Amino acid sequence: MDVILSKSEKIFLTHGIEEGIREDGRAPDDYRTIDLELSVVPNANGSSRIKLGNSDVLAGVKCEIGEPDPGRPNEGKIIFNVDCSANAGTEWEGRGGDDLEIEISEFLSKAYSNKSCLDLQILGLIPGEQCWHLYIDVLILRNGGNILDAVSLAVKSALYDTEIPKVLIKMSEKGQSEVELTDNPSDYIIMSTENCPIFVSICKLGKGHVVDATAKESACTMAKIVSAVRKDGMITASQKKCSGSLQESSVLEMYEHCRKVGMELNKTLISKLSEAKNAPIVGFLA
Amino acid sequence: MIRSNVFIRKTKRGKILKVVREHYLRDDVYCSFPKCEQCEEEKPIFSSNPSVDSKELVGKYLIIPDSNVVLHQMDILEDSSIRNVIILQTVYGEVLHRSAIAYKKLKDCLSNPEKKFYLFMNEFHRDTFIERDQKESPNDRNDRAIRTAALWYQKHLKPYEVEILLVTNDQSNKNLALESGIKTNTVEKFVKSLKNCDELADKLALTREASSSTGKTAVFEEHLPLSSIQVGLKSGSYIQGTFHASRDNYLEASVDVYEKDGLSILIQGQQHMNRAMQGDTVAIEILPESEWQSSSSLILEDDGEKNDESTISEDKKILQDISNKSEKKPCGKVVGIIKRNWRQFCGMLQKSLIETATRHLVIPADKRIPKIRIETRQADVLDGKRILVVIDSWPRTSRYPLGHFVRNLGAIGDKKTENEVLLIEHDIPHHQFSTAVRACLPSLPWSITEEDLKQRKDLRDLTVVSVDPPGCTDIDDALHCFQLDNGNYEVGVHIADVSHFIKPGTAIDVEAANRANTVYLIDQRIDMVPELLSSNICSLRGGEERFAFSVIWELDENAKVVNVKFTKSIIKSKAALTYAEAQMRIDDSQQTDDVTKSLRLLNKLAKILKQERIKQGSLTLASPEVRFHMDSETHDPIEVQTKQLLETNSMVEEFMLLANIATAKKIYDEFPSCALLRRHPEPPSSNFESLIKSAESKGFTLNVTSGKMLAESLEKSVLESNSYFNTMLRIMATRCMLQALYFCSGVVDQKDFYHYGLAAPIYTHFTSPIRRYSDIIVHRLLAVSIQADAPHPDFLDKKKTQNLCNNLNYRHKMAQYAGRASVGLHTQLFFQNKIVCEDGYILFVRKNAIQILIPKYGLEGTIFLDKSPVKFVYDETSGTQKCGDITFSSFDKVVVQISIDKTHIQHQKLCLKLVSPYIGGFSVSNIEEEPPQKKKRKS
Repeated sequence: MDVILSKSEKIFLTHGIEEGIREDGRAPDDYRTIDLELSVVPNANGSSRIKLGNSDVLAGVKCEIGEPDPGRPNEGKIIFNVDCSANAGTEWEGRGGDDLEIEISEFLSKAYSNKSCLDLQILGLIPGEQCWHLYIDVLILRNGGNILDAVSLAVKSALYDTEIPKVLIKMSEKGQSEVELTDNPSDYIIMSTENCPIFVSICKLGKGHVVDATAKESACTMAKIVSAVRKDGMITASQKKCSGSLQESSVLEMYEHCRKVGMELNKTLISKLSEAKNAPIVGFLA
Repeated sequence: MIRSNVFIRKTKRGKILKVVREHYLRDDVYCSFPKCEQCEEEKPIFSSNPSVDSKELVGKYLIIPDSNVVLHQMDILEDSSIRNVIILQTVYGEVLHRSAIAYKKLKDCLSNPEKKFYLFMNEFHRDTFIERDQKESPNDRNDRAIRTAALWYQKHLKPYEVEILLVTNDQSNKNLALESGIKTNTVEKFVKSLKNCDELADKLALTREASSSTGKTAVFEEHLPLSSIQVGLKSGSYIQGTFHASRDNYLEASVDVYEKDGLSILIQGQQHMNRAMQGDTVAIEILPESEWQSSSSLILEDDGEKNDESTISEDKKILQDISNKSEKKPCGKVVGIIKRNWRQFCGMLQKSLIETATRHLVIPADKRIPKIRIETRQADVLDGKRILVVIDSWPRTSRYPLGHFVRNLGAIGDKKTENEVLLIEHDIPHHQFSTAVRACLPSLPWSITEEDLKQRKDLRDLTVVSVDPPGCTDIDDALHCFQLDNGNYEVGVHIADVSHFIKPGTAIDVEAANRANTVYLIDQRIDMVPELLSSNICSLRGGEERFAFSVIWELDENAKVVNVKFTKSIIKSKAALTYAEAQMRIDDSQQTDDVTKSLRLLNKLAKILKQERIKQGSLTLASPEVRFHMDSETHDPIEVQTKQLLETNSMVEEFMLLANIATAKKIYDEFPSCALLRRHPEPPSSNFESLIKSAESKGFTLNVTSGKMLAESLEKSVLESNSYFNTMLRIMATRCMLQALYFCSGVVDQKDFYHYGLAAPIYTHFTSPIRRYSDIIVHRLLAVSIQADAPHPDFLDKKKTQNLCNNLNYRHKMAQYAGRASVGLHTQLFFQNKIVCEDGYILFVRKNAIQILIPKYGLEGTIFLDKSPVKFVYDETSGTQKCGDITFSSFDKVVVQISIDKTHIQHQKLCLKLVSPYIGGFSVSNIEEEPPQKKKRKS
């Protein structure tokens, strides 16, 4: 991922952005082309693959029955797990990706911990005893910059694609409850993913800031703010990265920028998801 | 074309899994009609002019049955008149899932070229595969798949004027099929349209619609559905077990609990048995302790046809009366049936009292099976015949299970019929060997080649001799013995080398493994391997060169083993003797030929070996064994004799034991985790309780702490006044024993290898490969351990070996039962038209009966006391019955009159009557005159 640039190259890039011109011709608010495909993993209950420029991310959702948290007996759980494939970059070989994996999964958990994001009540089965656990596994196949945004898009899409088998709760004579499958395999629950947040990373280069930075642009970034933005513009989590410091005014400015871009991107994604659901599956053979 | 099948299932541990299977659709699935030009089938199955022998269906027809028809009406499909049938893969799969029996039969039909059954893989055909719609149940989807396939066939074969007939009893499926233009019919209508319908109509299974008698009140509680049983089993409120009906009392049964070894729950009364039958896997609920009862010692038989409703309450009353309050056992009731053990049952018709009725009862030969109600119009024909029936269902509203007629086996009392019944009832495979099996046999004339000579040790010069019972044609062991120069003896045991002819995995091997052993009935032998092998090529006949597997020892003066070796060999037996002939040679001091000499040496060594063995604690047990002398023309028994044991019997036995033990050690050393061995578990001391009690009544104390102790204390228990006492004790001791079992050494703890009866730490069967499959496996293992044969991967598969052992154990048990039943049958034939008075001894005293053993005939019978006009008093603590001043207790000598009770023409049974001691009003007087027998002798 790390691109090594000379000082003059960095200055060239930064100056361009301050002028509102990016090296690949995009405007500061433009994303690269996003490819979206759903149900790419047949064994998973829901899956998606997002290609954002050169970044490639696969997300899968597995449903399993487990115990709910004692503090939230009526709710299900979602568990994030991120895996940086060593294929994606030599720096992730061995345990190289561990830190990043933890960072991303923690940030995802934080972003989704807001109750309004996902209705976890729907995942509850037998209060205090059994509930659905959603294991959301993200696999980063290729790193072409702006991985966080790509991951969040993949997760939201995979959740959209998730079909949770419908089960019946039966009471046995002794008053114990049992989970039974229904006879019909096409009987399933779909969660509402409207309010799931997506990440928007804003990079500050010189005086300007851009979204969806390429690898080169990331190398020149002084400071970066990542926010999880819901479709109504609410920010559920936020994080600052890189070594440079930010003034309060520019933080607020960047947040405002995040919201604006995030709302737009959410809207586009939601409209494209229903299209993707009915598209033929190409998968990895394309 | 590839697509994936997705379904969701719940695992046993409660996890929910999404399963994805790839499914390939192809376009080279053929219709198998010979004239079809589109398909490139090489060997089409159907006849080119498939016609139905029917009054209504004229022209060419292929039949497609739906799943339920195959499941329930297999007896119809099996009939030879039903041919040219398409079995759809959908149907095949459903049958596989739902009934192992129907599946087996279906497979037999499909593999029989005569039947012209064709399995059409419609699920893999590009044009006939359909996907399940949302909101469509799996059954509806399968019905639609069947219709789609039928329609495809119809279109496909239209140019050849072949029509398709869909046979289904499902009304909605039928309507939908008619709508889409497929010819359909119900099974009943189809059968009725056939020309041989009378014969077939009886075989029609009663379908649910026909048997559901609405309006009738339910006799039994409803069975719980499988899902709630599973929930109950998990939570511990129900217990799973195998249902065992009592042989003596039709109102009593027990359930052996799976999880706890040896725990059995008593089930009393038909209400609690709730339609469970012998061998079913059931779920039971334990009754509260206040309702626990002790098992009754009554012997009850279900006679007469009873009303559906009234009986149940009556049954209960009887039970309440008999239950004595002491010794309560846990009782339970059946709440659901997990797996039925229904098979075909032999039985005889008990005609309905109403002349014109078509519904009759069938009394199964197995006493543990309740009577079965069938519908037949040929009651008059079937009366007095043995018939084969199948149970279809047992609705809540009926006291009896409902079934249908399958086959007429022949007249009752006819020996051939009765033998057939015996074989079917004991699940003994007795069909002819198939062509595939026969193809594995070596061709005649068979001779030894140069190649064989190179690989085997040539022992043709040795004085080898075989000793067997008279009339034995499957000679699998022979012996030799001579003195070595150093004063020691060389002893050889030569066993027929069957494994040379039966290679693992061949058709003959599979068949032999299934049959597991040769079954000996009194007048019939059901071979494990075809006769060519068993009585010719493998049999070590006198004067012929044969392959053998030899164990050769060097024994010293005291019969201690100096060394032992195993080798494949070629032998030439000098003589095939019977036990009596061998005994005569040994005893006749005039004879000094080689054969006699070696026999004497063998006999000498055997005696030492036997002594040694008894010292180790080997048990000598007894069971009354009899021999029948047959009339050479009618093959009816004319005389009964108990088998005599000669010295030569035990001579052969000692060396067989020696060979078996030596082999067991060798193969266990070589294959510690997959050797096939035989163990005899020590019986729990509770088994001996009644034996100890009986012996105590005569003042003897038996020590049962170990086999050795038992053997010694049995040896000491001799009653001078009753010479038969010791034998009876031994007979009773035999019944306390557990079954000896084959097992795979890798699945049992080494300390459990012990053979209790023989007091041997390790044991196996090596010496009779012609009649036992276990020996073949042992031969193979031994051959590999001496590098005489190549190993086979299956040898190392513990699980496979254990499964095989389970089958061997089951077949062995069944063969024993069948043998006993055959003796019983012949005893009955023997006493036909005879009344004999004979000495007997009381074996057991029951609450309402005494059981008597008649040593002369090796016969056991029951005298019922509760139906007598004289009152008997039962004393439970001492186990005696009293009437006036006469007391009956175990071992008492009595005189009984034996005859055949013919009051039930259909169900003749041996009947015992007391002669002495004389009890007025109960005993009968001694009739020595037997006119019918005398007549016979004169003629």
